[in-house]
Amino acid sequence: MTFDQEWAELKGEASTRLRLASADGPGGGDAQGQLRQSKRAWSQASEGVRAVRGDLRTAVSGLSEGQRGAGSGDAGVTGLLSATAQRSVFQSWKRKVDHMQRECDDVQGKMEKAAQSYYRTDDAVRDAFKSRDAAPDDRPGVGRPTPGEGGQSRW
Amino acid sequence: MVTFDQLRDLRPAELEDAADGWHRLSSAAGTAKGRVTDEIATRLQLAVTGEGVDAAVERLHDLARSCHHAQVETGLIRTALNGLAGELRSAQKKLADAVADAEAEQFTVKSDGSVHWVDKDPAAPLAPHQSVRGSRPSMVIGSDPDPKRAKAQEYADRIGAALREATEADARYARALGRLHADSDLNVSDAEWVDAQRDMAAVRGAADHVPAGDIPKGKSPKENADWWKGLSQDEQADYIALHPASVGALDGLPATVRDEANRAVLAEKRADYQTQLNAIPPEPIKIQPGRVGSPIATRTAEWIAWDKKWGDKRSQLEASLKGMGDIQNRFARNDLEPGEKRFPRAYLLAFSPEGRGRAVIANGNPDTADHTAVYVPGTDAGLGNFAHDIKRMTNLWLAANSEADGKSVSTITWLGYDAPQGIKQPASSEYANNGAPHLNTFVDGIRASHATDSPGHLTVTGHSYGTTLIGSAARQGDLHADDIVTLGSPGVQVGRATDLDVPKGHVWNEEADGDKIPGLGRYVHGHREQILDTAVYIIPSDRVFGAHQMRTDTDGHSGYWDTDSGSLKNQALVVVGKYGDVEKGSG
Amino acid sequence: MNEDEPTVKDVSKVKRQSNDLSRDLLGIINLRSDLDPPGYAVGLCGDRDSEKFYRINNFWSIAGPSAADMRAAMDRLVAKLPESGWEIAENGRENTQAKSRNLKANNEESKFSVYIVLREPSSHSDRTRPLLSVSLVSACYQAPEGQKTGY
Repeated sequence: MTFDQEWAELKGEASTRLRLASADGPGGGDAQGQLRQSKRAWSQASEGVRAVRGDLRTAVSGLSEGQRGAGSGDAGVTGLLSATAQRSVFQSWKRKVDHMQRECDDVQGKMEKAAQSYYRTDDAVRDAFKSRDAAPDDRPGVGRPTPGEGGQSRW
Repeated sequence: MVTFDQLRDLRPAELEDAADGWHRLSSAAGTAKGRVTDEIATRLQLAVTGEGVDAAVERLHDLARSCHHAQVETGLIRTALNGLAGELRSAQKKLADAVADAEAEQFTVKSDGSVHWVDKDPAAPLAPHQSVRGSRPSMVIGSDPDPKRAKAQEYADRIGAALREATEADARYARALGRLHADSDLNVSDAEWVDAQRDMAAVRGAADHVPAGDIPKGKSPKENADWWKGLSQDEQADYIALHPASVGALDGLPATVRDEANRAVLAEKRADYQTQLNAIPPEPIKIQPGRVGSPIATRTAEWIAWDKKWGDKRSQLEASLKGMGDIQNRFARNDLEPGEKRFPRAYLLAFSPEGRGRAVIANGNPDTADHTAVYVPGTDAGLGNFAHDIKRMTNLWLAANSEADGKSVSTITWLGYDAPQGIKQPASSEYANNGAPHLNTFVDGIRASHATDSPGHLTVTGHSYGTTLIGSAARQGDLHADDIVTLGSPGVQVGRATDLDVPKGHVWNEEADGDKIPGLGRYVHGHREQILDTAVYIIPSDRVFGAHQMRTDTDGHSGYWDTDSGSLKNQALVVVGKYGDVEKGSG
Repeated sequence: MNEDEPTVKDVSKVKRQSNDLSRDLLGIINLRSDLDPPGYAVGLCGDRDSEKFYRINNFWSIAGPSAADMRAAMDRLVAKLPESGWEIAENGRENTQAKSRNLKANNEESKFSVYIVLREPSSHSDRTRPLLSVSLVSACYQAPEGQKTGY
């Protein structure tokens, strides 16, 4: 961005704070510029979160690829207790990172809605983000004990 | 129990492949954490305000915490797997060597590990095939008359030892790995960070391929830098994962490495201290009103007992936690707003919360900066009021950056010593003298890790008692700075600018109007000289000392970094080497 | 600032004002720079409580244009600042080895002060190109009840 462009952008941003719920905000062209500014910011944030989710997904598939041959059934590491432990740890982290991705989806979706002025008031935006709607994985299976219980391994 | 054919057929490379996969995840989590706070949250807050965006940003910060925790934990998993692979490979080699040696002597090793030979002894024609197995060493009563049997036993024992080694390593790592499961909750609580500390200790206990003993201790920063460069990338990652406190404290290592290690320490210690603080019992009522006969209000017995046991500890925990919060605020740049000057990324070059605490934080990366300033704070400095000293250096950064004409600047707050507190302690030279060698080492470390071809320009600046430490550093050892700036100095222990290790003409002093400290302190920290019959105490503000006196336009002992001031601007001009633009004071 | 308590004023208003004034100055200077654009920073008011009292500063500089263009810009400032409510308090040279041309002006209405200096290469500076450095600062204010200064 050139000096002028960035300066022009700063000029646009450096007005009174936008309060979505405020009825007595600045009127006229100023408010329109503000609104455009904030929609774009929500949109950019949403894109950013989408990118983070993508990075996490790539990382988890890299993780899974590295698991080839390291499973407890695989000849290369047959019979090792640690291989079995590792496999179980892998399952737990795969679930965890999947959960983090769903969290990204939740946040990203709400940001997109904010960009499209879906929420009528600032309070509505706040409530949307305060509500955590990423479905946790509640499948039974291997999981670590609650923190503070001494972290004893299952072995 | 690892069996013979399991160990023989093992492919440790597959464990290493798995470790690489964990490393990819750990790295990605680390990058994501930075992206979420530094880019996404920051930019969003630039353009939007309100409770809605505050709630969104809180979600983002929680996500970033998850990523950081994931980065640390998966880094431990990767380290554990690499350690396991190394140990198994070593056991495997011992096994293979034993088998090869046995076979070279016409023994046969079966897939259960037993060692066989054919006995051509005519005395036992019906039982030519003999075998032994590895066993625990046992008392030999008399000597075995059959030399072949003894040799076979030796090989069998070697095989047995290799299998036991593999079995023991397997069990040890299985226990360590068992601790490293992810839990199902997204929010990373204090308890989980405390557990991460314990996990690190557990993996450290299990893995021996990155021993603490190999980390240089008491060596020069150049030696530390060389040690680090000599490690493979894998080893570097493992050292950061397992020994972040030691690695983070090593002067000479790259700023990015120290920062990663110290941020992990900060997260863990913050949770640890918060947990400890939460565990302190509530403070009882302090004052009870007077009674008839003794009308003066007194402290209750319960409070006195509580204070004796918990008072100091609570103060220390609260002060450290405040400092940790201030550091984290600087990372998150919580108050960034539309049009606000963007600060460069902060690097945590040292951190430890014990006692009054140590913390060294840089604005911008000193390894790549054209101009670097290191600031030594004075009396009362500590983690409890660290925000103050962080802000002084961001102010200096802004002023220097605006005069740098495109060159890069890094300003560093160096709380790397125990500063004197209160009224009596600053009268002692002890704190300066004890702290001084640490400053020399830190500066040498910055020089050693400086990445570019040119050495970079370094200014060391001190305030108040911090200047005394600087003087002591130059006096006791070698302070490898290019310029020295002293602000409100009560004396630097030496009597001339030329005693301060920098080239002639590179010492710059400011004493503001109304700053009482130089006058009060000169008799303690100034350099005592005899002029005819009189003892005089020389400080940097004295003409005879020979420093450049820079003009100040601020008042008192603490105004030197006021953002609109000439006092700050002159410091900034020295930092960027524009000496011709420095305003001279009246001296 | 004398004995009077600093006026209470919304921090964001002062921030906006500082950006506006910077923009105006830039308009008069009318030169392109290859350096960081302006931005404000929250500063102290002497040793008053930093949670309540604040100043807003803008530091920025211009580099890239020729010395001749920069000198012309300084002349423009001297001519035009009084037209926009600025009173020129100093117009001369710094008391430094380099003796750079400087300008100090105060804007009574908006309660801002600006210090501008043109630093040129010379035998006294190891500068390779001229730099126009601007430092704008507001009066000391008090943040309204419940508002953070952001220091």
